[in-house]
Amino acid sequence: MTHWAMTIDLRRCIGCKTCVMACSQANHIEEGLWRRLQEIGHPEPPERQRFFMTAACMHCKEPACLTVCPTTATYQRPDGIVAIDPNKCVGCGACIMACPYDARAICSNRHQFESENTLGAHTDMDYGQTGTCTKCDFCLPRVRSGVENKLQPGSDPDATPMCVVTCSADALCFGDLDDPNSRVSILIKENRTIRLSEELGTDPSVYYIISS
Amino acid sequence: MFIDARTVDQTKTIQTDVCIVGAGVGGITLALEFERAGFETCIIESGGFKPDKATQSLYYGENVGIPYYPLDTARGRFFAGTSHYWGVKLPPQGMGVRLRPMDAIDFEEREWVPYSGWPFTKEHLDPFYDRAQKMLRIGPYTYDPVDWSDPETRPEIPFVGDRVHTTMFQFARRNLFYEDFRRTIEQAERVKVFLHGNVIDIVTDESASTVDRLQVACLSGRSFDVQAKRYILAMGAIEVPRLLLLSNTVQSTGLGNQNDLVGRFFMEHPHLWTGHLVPSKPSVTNSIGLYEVFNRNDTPVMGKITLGEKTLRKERLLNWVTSIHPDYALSYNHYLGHNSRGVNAYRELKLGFLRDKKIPPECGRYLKEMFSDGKSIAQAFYRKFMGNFKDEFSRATQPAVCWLNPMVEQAPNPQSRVFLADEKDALGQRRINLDWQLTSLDTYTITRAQEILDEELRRAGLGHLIIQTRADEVPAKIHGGWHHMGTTRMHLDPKLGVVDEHCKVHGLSNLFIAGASAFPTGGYANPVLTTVALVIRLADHIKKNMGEGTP
Repeated sequence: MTHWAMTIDLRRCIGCKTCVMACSQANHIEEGLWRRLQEIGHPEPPERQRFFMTAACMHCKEPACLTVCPTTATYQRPDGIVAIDPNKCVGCGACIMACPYDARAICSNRHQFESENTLGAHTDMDYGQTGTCTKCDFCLPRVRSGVENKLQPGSDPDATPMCVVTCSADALCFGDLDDPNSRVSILIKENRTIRLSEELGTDPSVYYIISS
Repeated sequence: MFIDARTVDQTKTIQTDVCIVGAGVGGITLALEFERAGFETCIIESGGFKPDKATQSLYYGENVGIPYYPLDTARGRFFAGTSHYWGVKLPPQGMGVRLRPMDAIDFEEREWVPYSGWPFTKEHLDPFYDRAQKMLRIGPYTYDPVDWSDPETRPEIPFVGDRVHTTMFQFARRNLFYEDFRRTIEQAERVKVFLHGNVIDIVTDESASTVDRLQVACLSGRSFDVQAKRYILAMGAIEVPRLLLLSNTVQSTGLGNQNDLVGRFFMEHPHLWTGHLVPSKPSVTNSIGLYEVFNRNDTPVMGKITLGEKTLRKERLLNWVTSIHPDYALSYNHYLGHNSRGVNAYRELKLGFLRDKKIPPECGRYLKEMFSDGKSIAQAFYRKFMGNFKDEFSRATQPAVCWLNPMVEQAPNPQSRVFLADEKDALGQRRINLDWQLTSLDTYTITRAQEILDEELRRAGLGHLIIQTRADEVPAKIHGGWHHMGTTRMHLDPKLGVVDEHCKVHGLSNLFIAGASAFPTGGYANPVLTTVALVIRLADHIKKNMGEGTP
């Protein structure tokens, strides 16, 4: 079985926002809608080191969004990715309220409006339908296409989420949690990690590395 | 070849022909030039291939002037430097950096711009710009919209006359330096890059006229020296003056700082989101495909609007350019009449009543405005009501109102500066603070340029501009573009510059500065292309000086 997961090494992140920009560019969305970055605290003297945290959908094994969705638009794939079918979503927003990670938002028609610079509108948008819910999908088209083409998500850049591919600090890692030899599994095994709001029982698939 | 400086034998001094400090855009460009010339070159780079917090925090400093980005997040202190942060979205995928040469007028001594003037003209730098374009793997050396536009799908905005016109920018890919050129350097026989090494002192002879060696220290505690025939500082316009000021054993004011110029004249390109371009009809802003990033002949390009050279001279302005960005919220508000007198008066009256729970003092004026513009109010109510039943607002039928995102040349200003702080970093070196300041010419240009654009939009029947800035105040949300320039400016006279026309530090025979810190003025164009051109020019000078091919 495959279960896609991500590790984020908080010791390495320098807050350059490349992951946020790459996510926005690759998925034709506004910056910060899926992946966002926040600085925590203030760089204290004498070291003056900063602490940044990036977050997006946690692709929980027990997603709160799944149970509240009235139309089954939100669904969980066998590989663990939690996705949204925009054809079923009615934009009720229940999942937004249920998600403890602030990972979801409603598509506005703003982006499409602002992109229609040429005489013909862009037709290759995979952003989602206006008025429906949207969130990080671990770059599902890339992962799915990669698997179909026998590429290894997490190792082959063409099959890996863009935030991971473009991170300058190598802080993000993606891979199969069910493979004990994957880099993700090894990193989790060899380092101390935390997951956000574990006490809520969501069982997130994103692990934050905090120390060796 | 890459070497971990933390493993260097401390008892030996590294000997080389040319020592470059900083493996960013400038340093890497130099190294590749010198490799071709057959020189032994070493680069001392503070970081590794990946950033780490301890090294990155060496960049920390305070902003004490106009609010600016944190100095330790606006720069990358690892191999390929701030090129890692190039984040303009390029089609179909990827990110990159905006490139354009400066204009000819940017190199001139303009009597309305104090301290302006380069020691050479743009024409002199053109061959180096051409070589820079090839190095950065972008298109041909032309920025004329005629060469990039398409009258059918991506036409120029049809301004009348030459007060304003369209200009073009090209884009280079982000991974050029940290991937492609890294591979080239790995294979280079005569280039050694010492990673994780920090130059903490430039040691000179007793008269501070010749550099004897550089002292390098690692965060791990290891230290060593480097001796070369030529030394080139390429760490950017904040870190170069910092090192010069710190190297004060012989020259107590700092190396090259005999006239108190090192660190002064810090320039950025003030950016802001301002001004609503309201088109006269939908077709105006439904034909602005030239003004987004698109591919033409495999080169990502983008059009922007700028002022003509005659306009700059006549109006005595700094150089200025703006991009235009359709905005949904602005457009929808315009659709609901927020830019009309009647609707605005109604809104002011309503908000005032709701806020203060009484009739506002200017009630009479508001009512007069409302009665004189009843049509707009009626239309706004109708559209608001009908919006509950069907979506009538779309690009096809309604004008798209655009934000301007101007980028302005900053006037050279000695009060805008970087200077040493009292606080010390992990290497025991005083940190650097930034006091970014603007002058009245900067703020005047920001507003007057928009007034001119407004006049030209109206003259051509294209629309108008709603201007939100004032000529006599610094706009509230002004910000930089991570373009650091001017702090070791170039001038023939040592009383007016830190480096001469060859980027050699005045008073020192073998110390040079590579990069935008040497710019006397900054134009409006992003500095990367000019930086690479200037660095290639410096490399040629040093090659000639040292006898190319004979180390």
